[in-house]
Amino acid sequence: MIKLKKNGALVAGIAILAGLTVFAVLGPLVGGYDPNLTTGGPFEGPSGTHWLGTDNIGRDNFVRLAIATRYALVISLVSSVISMIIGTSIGLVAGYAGGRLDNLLMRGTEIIMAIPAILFALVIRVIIGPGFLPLIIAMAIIGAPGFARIMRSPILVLRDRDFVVAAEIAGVRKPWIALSHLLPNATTPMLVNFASTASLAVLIESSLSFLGQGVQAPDPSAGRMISESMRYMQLDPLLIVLPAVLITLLTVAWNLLADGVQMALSPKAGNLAVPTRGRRRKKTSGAAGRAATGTTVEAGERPVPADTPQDEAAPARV
Amino acid sequence: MRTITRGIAATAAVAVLGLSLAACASGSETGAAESSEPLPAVEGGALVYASDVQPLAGGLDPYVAQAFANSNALVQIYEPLLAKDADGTVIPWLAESWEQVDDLTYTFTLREGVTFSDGTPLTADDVVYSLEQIRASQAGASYFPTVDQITAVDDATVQLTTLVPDATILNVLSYRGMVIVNQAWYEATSEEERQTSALGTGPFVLDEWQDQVSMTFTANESYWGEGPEVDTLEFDFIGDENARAAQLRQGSGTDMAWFRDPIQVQSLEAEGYTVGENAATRSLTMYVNASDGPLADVKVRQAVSKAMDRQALIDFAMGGMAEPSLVVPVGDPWGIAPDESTPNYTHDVEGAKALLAEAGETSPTITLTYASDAAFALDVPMVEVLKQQLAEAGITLELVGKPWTEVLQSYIGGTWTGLVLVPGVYMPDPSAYFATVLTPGLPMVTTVDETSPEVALYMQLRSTFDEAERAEVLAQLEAAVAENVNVLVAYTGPQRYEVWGDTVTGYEVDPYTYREGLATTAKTS
Repeated sequence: MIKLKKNGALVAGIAILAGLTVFAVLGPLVGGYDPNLTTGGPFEGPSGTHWLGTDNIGRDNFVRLAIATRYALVISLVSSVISMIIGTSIGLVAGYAGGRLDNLLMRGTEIIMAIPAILFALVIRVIIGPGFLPLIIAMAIIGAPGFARIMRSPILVLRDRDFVVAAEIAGVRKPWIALSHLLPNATTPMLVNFASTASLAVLIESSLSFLGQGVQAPDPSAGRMISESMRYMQLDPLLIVLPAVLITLLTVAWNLLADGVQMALSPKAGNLAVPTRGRRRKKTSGAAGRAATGTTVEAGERPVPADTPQDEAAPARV
Repeated sequence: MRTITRGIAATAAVAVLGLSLAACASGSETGAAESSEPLPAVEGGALVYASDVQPLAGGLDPYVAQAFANSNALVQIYEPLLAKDADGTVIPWLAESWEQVDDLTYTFTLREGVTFSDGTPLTADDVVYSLEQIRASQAGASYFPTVDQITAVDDATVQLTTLVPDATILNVLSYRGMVIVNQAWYEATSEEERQTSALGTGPFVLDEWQDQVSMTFTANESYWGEGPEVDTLEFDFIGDENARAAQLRQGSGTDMAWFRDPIQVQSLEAEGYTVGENAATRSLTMYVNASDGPLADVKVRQAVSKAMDRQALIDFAMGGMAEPSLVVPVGDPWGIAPDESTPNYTHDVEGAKALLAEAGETSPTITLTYASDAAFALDVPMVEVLKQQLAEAGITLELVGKPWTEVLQSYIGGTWTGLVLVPGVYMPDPSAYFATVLTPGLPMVTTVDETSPEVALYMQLRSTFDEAERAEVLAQLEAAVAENVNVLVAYTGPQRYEVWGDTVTGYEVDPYTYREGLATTAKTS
């Protein structure tokens, strides 16, 4: 169904993510060192025993980087899934219920979106405390409003379509309509948003860890590795280059995936000259909505063209 | 005796605050320039010093400001009655001489001809007023818990009496925070204005303070002492250590800078810059909360101390640029270096395991709270290596990184669990280092009560005047504290390193009080 050959972004995104996943899973096993233990001298260069050298207190960089990849992947993936569940539910309820509830939910998400992501994460960190779980919770909350807004737009149109009205007349219960008729017809922008939210999560996690408020010592995280290695930038540049490359790869991969998914699921894919960042396009112009226009999706027994509108970009219509 | 203890207890909490703020702010520092062949000094010129942060809360009000960064600006403007030389000996400053009449009474004779920078002469009334301000201030009160009365005998003589014999008085008066202000000016100036303007007897006069950018001083023409050699002094505030180094290397006007990171300093030294020798007074001190948990048992505390390999901590975390230390930092003139006979200081994993077995805690879990802000990045390798070391003895060290302000709050309130890492600063009197460890009644004191022998020794240290006798008491106290592990010291390093090139000459580092020796510093070009 998806033409992979023409979709370089998707292939590249998946390939990089798959590669990083393999590295994250197998790296520590292959490397054979404890990531938090001194197993060599400080600042050793790459060698047969330590493939990527050692850090300032003699820990193996290869294994630490693999564990950092693990953290980044798990945090971005898990937090984005939670964001998606929360955000989608809000969007679905708001879009389908409409009226006051819609207003309330949407204003709520706007309030969260108005607060800078890093600041918001720091506040949550202060309330809950440092560590892995608060990080995930913080990022799940940060990502949710994006999903809510993206979900709500198609629902607004879908809810007036014949098949929905028919189901209502037939006495199908509303929650069931929402889940089985509305939700499947609005998945494309959600998938795109998922990938770009994950990419944002990688950046936020790194930033927080860089500030000492994310993953805690001695566990490695790309952000913490950079902040710890800044002092040794001239002595051993590799220490700062490795985690920086990791962050770059991860964010690029997620963004490529976002673009790839968007192209794959859009009938106009061939016309998109240059793939741009999925998240941005959606947020600013509702491009995702437009891209999905005319997509034929299966709903119930009959095909329905989901003419997803551009409400996203036109709040005046709300 | 008991009243005094309580008095000290009540006020020491405030001292802690001051100490911790100072540790946190870790302000700026001066350096002077010298090459292998010092260039001749030239008259006048502008001296530019790059430091990291501008004065914090309290600004230039000497009785409100406590942070390191504030003091660096304040010492250019304000001066204390007494000072200390490089050996730690008390020397005359604004007071030309002093006499201890008996155990409870001191008289100070003021130096003649000292004027404030506006020309008004320094009087005994100013001194009395200033010292009373310190006693009344939140930050300074803890330094004078035993003082009874401060009076002006005549225009040039001040008398100070204490309730009980207190050997700390002269040391405290020579501390750079114990400065003298002009009573009339201080009273006439609003609280806010005092923080942004100043009138002192010191070598420099504040000219302009550009928020977050720089602070400029001009030479005090009527300064009573030597100097200043330069016409103007400028502190530039550059937060990033690498940027500060770049500024110094660039040669576009920055003459001196201070650094925290030994690695940065080593590379500058290799390039031919002069590095000032600051005494090691920044102790990485871990305070113990023994009110519950495994650390309530002294054997567990001893096991932790034995499981620590202090030299390895220094080698790995500080690249060797620190020293093992007891409670009084080794860089302090009173500091005693630990040796093989120091209880629980020798690395002994088997001994630690045996102690744990005796205590019935073969694999205890202990929490260590430390500051995870970027400004404390230098200390993180230490806690990471420590975790590994304790694991060898079966102790699980749980690291909890928090913002410094939270760490500080839990320490001051005594609410932390297990251990809390609070880097120390130089204190005017050796007894002051023990105040927050051995003063029963303070929230952070959990390992002793009024009957503990350490407390008796501490009180004895405070009231012993004879220096030799005092040193003996201190040695006993240090041994007792090492034995009972009331507090754990990982190592002690310098607070900061001053670095300068060959554009300045004549700078003298004052290692103990961080009094900037900029008055005698001259430019060479």
